Amino acid sequence: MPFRFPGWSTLLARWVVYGGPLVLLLLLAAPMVYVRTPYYLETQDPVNQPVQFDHRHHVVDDRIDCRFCHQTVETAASAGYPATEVCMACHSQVWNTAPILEQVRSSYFTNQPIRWHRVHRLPQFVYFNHSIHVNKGVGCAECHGRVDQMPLVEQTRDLTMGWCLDCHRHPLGRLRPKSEVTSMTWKPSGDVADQKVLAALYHVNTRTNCTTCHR
Amino acid sequence: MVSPTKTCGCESELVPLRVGPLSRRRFLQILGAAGVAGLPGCYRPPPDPVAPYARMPEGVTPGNAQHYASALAFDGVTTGVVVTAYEGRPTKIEGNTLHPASLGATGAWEQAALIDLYDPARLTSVGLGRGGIGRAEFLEHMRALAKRHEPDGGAGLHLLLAPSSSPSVGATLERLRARFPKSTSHTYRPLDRSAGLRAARTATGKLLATRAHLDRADVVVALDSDFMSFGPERLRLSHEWADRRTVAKSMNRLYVAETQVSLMGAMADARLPAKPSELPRIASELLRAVAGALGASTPAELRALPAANPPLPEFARAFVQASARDLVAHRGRAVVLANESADETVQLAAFALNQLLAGAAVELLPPVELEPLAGPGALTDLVEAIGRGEVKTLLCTAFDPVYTGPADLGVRDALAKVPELIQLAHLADETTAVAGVRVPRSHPLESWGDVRAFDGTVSLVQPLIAPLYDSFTELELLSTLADDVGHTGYALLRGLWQPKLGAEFESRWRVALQDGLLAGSANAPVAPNVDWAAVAGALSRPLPPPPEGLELHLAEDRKIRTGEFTHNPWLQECPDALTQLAWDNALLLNPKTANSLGLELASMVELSVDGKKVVAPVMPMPGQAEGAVTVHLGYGHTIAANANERVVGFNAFQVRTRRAASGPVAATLRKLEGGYRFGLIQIEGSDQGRPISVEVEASELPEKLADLAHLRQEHPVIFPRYAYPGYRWAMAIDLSRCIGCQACVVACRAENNVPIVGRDEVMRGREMHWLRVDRYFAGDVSAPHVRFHPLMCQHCEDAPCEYVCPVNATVHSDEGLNEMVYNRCIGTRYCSNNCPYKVRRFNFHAYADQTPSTEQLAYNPEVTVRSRGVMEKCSYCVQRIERVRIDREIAGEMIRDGDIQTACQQVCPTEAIKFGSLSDAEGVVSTLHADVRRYDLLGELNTFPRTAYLARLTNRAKGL
Repeated sequence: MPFRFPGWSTLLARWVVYGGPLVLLLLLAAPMVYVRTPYYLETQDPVNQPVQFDHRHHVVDDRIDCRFCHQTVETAASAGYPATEVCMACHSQVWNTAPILEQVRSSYFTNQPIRWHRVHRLPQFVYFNHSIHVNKGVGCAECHGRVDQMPLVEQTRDLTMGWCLDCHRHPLGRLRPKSEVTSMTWKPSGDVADQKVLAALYHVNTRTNCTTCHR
Repeated sequence: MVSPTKTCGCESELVPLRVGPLSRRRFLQILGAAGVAGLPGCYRPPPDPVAPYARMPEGVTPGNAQHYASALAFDGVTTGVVVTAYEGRPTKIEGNTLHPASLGATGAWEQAALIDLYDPARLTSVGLGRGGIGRAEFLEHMRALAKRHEPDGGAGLHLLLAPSSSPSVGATLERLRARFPKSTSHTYRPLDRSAGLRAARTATGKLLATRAHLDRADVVVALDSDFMSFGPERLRLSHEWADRRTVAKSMNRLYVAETQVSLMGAMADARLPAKPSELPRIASELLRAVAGALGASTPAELRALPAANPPLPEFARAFVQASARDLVAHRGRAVVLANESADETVQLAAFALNQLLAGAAVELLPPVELEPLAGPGALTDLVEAIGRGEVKTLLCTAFDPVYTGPADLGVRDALAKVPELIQLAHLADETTAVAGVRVPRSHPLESWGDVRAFDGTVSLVQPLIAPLYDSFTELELLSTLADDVGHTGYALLRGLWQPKLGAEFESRWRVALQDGLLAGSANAPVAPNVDWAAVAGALSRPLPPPPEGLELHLAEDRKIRTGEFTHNPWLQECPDALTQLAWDNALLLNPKTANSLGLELASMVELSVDGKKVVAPVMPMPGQAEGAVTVHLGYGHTIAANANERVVGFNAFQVRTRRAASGPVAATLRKLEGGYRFGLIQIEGSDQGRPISVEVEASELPEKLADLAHLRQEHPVIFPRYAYPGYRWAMAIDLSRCIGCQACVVACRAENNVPIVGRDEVMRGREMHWLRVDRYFAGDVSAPHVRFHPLMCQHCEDAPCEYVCPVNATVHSDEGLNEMVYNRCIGTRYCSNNCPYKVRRFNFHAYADQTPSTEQLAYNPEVTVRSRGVMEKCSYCVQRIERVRIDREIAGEMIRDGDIQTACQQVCPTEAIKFGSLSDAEGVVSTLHADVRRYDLLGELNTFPRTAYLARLTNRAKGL
């Protein structure tokens, strides 16, 4: 008996020929889409903290500047997290018996740090320096978003290398006067000439070679 | 909302493959299984807690380094250092620019001392008998001990001390002697370094140390002991010598007579290989020749010195005549250095010659050690006292006397007989094995103390970190006996200095800590009266007859000294400058001698001296004196050996009998079956006549350099070269100045977190030094020219490594740096294949993961720690460039010449390496790149390297 293809062969062939490239395309595209999702980038995901620190209250109500707590943003690579004694500067008097601040008080008196959970995570092979950015007129809100509107801090930007390079290649439009760096509400004028003035004033000379960040 | 405390379930990544035999099938099995395990694609990095301070210490900015001045002492004398620390964790040691003995530089020992702090094998708590006790218990133990010795005034109490110049230790010892008047202290050091002091005493009646100023010397004759490798003045002397190696400053000339090839021998303009028994004769012949040439202006006794008996060989006589002529011609600006030579004749002749010739180039200072005449004899005295039953308690702070003691003295058995032996030690060693009480020694980086430099300058030792373990400094341990209550080092120090510094104590104390030295504490030079009759009398005494046959030369190892650094991986892996051995030592023979005995590289021999034997591998070494065998001490030390550690090298102390320690003795070699495998960093010894490490005789300078034209980027190229708009980083290495000390090699390893690979990997050629110092021999095998050549990534403008990388992991920056991006590298190794200089190092295994966790504390946080499969190489210390750039940008200034110092540049004692920007036309690098001696390594390959070399100038003596 000569060989005869079973009846479902045609269907199979159609599925393979039309579906195969589609599957391959999906296999290629799916990871590319995946790494751009907020889940993977960890954006839009407020991070739980051991002490429920609400930036809305401290920034908007109390008008505390970012640098009061993040003290080394202008002088070091890391902006720094406040030592417990910074919290205790006020909270030794204000709400000083509140249960919500129990961890802060015990941290201060036992000299053990509060273990915050990092929100903006860069890989260990990336050496990011806050001080150079802040001193060149890049505002806090530029990369960290409207922290004054966050009950718990979340990451609002990608923080991918492509995102960083985007600004490094086109810094105009993202600069502001150094006096407005910690302002949450300042908006650029929209005129590129103003940006050029700032860039010249602050000698903005963005570098895109690898060892700027990878050492 | 995701709680960071929940993990995603796929915990660990691939299990690191063990370094060791693994079959290919097993490897693939593991690979497949691990690949499947990685499939779920789940990719949340583990939660990353941030723990700021609860109370911020003053002056700390997390992420920024702090620098504190301190001092590290070797044999009790210091050169002053400044230590870099991040958040209370010291990570790098630098020189102290304000300190007269350091001049901003360090040697390899200072660089490697850092990793000793983090040594995983350190003793961590006081050991008593078989167990351990706590600090309070130990102090109680010592109090009870002191009470037991008080009634008889400490009659059975003996101390075996390490050499020290510390004023606070001195004061504590005085209190101890006051409390125990009948106690005896012996200050012990395995090698005799006080021959110079004794020679001065013969000549002047006083113990005086010679301090040379080589910047004022036109001619230097160095005998026996290498002033570039040993001695507390080695950094300053190397610097001053190197400063005079340019024609512009009227170049100096160096004559060297020595047994083994050393750094000073490699840099010498004229070198005489001499057996140990010939050196005293050479020294006194030199004195006789100089005295004769100077005629009536020298004391008659010197001119009447007897001739050498037996007479010196012809070439030695020629050397003596030539150097004498040169010394006399430059009278008033000529120095004879005997440095740490143990031979009193050599030292006395050198002293006399300096008195006749040196003028202002030499001054005499009082010795700074508490016991200047400390030497090997102290141990002999102690063992004899033990034999007489006089020793009930022995407090020992000297380094491992069982290991370093003479082989025929029976030190181990003697110490085992002492009822109460308290040993202060860094690790478990041969002596702690017989000690009843083992006290961990604090590292200088975690202690308070004081110490002197050679010229008497006092430096305060301040800790960079709280003591890691339950350890004691020598000062604190002595205080437990001297005082009713054991005091802390800090209290003792302040207790001593408060009355001494008087009224403005607090401010002077603060300034002393900040500067790293106490201003005005240097000793004043002494101008003694020389008793020439005594000198001539001592030199006229007949020398012992030279031994028959091969002479034994026991030398301190340049890297690990007499065993103090055997456990230090940074120094073990750093190659010895001349032998290029890592993790090993060898028996050095002249190639002709080796041939005549039927020996070759890696032959095994049994070395016998006075009946004591040791088995050693042979290394024929060009330049080694014929008829003399050199072995380096410090190896074969069975310290802290755990299952993975093997004993490194052979123990030359086994043949160091008392007789061998005090003068030249005969050695016999018996060839054994079998061979050996050395861990050689550099295998090839010759540059095959190619212009790799170029040497030019100063008088032939213009003509010879015409040969180098093709190596000076002065030839046309087809493609237009990139016009670098901003800074143009470049380096210049002056081969006239490089003495091969390897300080830069260890500094680079410390700064850049370069991993240790171990002996087996070194034998496969996989050592990870980003910077290496090659050495080449040329010429006659008994009197070779030795050349050093530091080599790191040349940052070629037209780099062959860049265009072969399939993933662009190595790229060129707009400032001329060849950048290595570790996270992109996939490990094809094509870049290393294409590199003509072979300066790229590949992580064949996860070497960094094998670093013990305590040693990981020494990592520099500014530099990525590389894992398996990643290529790495010199980056021109890009982390330093970027840090300075950020600081200057914030301040709104340009980077000035000298702002950035690479790690290798900063530690170099002779300032052989210079780094800067070619965009600065007046900068040092631009000047050096335009220098007439400049050439590029392998320049004919058109790589356009940014590192330029300056050919080494020699000033060879005529007729030698």
